[in-house]
Amino acid sequence: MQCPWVQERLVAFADGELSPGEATWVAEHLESCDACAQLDLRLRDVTPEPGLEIPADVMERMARAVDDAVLAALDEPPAVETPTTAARWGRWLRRDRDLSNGAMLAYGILLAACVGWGVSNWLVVQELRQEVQRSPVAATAPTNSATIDSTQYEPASYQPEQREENWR
Amino acid sequence: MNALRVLSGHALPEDDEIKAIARKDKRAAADLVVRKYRDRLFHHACYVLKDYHEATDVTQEVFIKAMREKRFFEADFKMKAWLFRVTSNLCFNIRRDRRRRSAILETVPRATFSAADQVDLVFSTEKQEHILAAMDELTDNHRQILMLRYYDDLSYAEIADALEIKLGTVMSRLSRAKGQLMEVMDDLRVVGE
Repeated sequence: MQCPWVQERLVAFADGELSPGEATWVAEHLESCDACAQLDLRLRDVTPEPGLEIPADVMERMARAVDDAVLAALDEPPAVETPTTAARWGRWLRRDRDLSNGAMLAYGILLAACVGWGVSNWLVVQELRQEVQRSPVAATAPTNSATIDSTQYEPASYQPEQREENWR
Repeated sequence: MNALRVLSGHALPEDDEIKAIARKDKRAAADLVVRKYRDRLFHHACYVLKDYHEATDVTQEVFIKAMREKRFFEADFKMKAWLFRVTSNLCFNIRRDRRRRSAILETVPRATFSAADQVDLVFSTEKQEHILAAMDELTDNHRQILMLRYYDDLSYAEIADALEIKLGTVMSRLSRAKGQLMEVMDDLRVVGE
């Protein structure tokens, strides 16, 4: 086993937190590697141990203070919840309806699709408008009758000369 | 606080049993949680803050937060890890505030830090006092994980829950923390000689 792998696990080995398999590998390595064995001893030497002795009167005062605070917290009226924006929307959408989450999701997707379709159409219209602004002559349809050549719209069957002859 | 009287002389119940009690009687369950963890959390706060008054405030605040936490007695809630996480975070926030204050007012002593409130560190050996002093030189992350492991006696899995990190990270962070502690202790020895 490589030294770095073992050294990374020396603290866990000393704390008894390695799996049995890993602990066996580390123990075997320590028997054959002086450097890692030395490091193991040095790390064990700086292990903190609890040793704080707190006077009894301090502990009593603290216990009383904590008990009083907890009792006061338990007697507090429950805080009134302010619903989040999402919760408020959810409630509004579900009003008077018994909809499951799946139905709400499907409804949301459909709504989003409709909005998306509307937006895409609006974008197309905007694009066309821009095109019209860029080349107004090509895109504008003739609307003023004075500008239209009258012969262009005469039907082929209309022959005024022949009609005049018939009258005579 | 009647539940305590009933249980006096007996070991306090496991967290799961306390949660089961909470379903019927929240007050009794709250009392049991306080009895079970109050002293340990206070010790943790004393180690970090070295001030009884501030440590008491932190312990109070942790339990008030716990009582206001809706999920606290829920079946899948890790109450022990939560209590130590909140205690640790509150303590380190106070330490950070102290550092900020002392940076602004370097020469002015803290008003609340009276001699009567200062934690009297009484360890079995002088070396352990040096170790705690050396821990002040470590980064917050390293000091925090060492305290949770060796002063609060949390398992690696509990530390992972308390700090919301992976089990592998607990192992590597503890390894680095102890390595750093060893170096600081070596430096202190060199200075002392």
